[in-house]
Amino acid sequence: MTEIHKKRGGWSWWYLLFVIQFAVALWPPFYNRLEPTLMGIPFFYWFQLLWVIVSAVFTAIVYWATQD
Amino acid sequence: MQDVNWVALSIFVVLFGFISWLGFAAARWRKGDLDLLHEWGLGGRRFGTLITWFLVGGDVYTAYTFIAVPALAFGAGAVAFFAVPYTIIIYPLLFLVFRRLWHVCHKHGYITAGDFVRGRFGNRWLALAVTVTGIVATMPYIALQLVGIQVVVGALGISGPIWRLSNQALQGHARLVRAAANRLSTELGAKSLAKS
Repeated sequence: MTEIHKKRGGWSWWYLLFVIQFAVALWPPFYNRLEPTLMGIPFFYWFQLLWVIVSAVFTAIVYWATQD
Repeated sequence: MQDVNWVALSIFVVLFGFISWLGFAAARWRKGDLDLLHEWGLGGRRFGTLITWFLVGGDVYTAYTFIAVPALAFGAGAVAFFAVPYTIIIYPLLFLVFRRLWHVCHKHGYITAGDFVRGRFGNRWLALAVTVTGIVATMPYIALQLVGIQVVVGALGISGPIWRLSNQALQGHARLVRAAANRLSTELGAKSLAKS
């Protein structure tokens, strides 16, 4: 386990991108509102669906940035 | 049989037949020696990114995703949207843990979670506990999927004594699983108390 730890480097500052999406997803008062609507869809719904895409992009960024 | 939805039933039968055929065809394509555990459990470690992507999709998007969550949204509204932040949070966590887990398991040839725990912590009782917990924890999940299948078959208009019977069997099964889980958690709690 130790040699793997050494080889894979452990910490990277890129992981902090995940903190952003955790904070957004875990704090409902932040998006618990009707306005602004998007094509009639309340903010509560489209904002969460948007963050599915944003978090996928974040994960991709971290993946490319932390690859050996 | 008056209630049968023939269009839905036809689509179901055709898709079910196609998926079954696909399964048998895939089993013959690049056949492995199923007497070897890593062939049986991991497809001989030959799955690449694309096949793994489809496997994860098949694991995540189940009868629960397509029936229970929409039903909850329909019946109770916004509370069903817990599933969306859940995926936003769980995927990065799995990305962080599984990448390292994959490297360790690949290097040492581990197949199951029990193998990993035994190799990492060198304690076969801990490995056994993890394995048993995994099996027991899967059972209510399987019961949930069976309820989902029952709803699907019910939507086709097929109902009758056999489905009521299976419902009773499911409820009995769920009771059994709950009892086993309770006993296991009690025993594990007692053991950790005795050690500390």
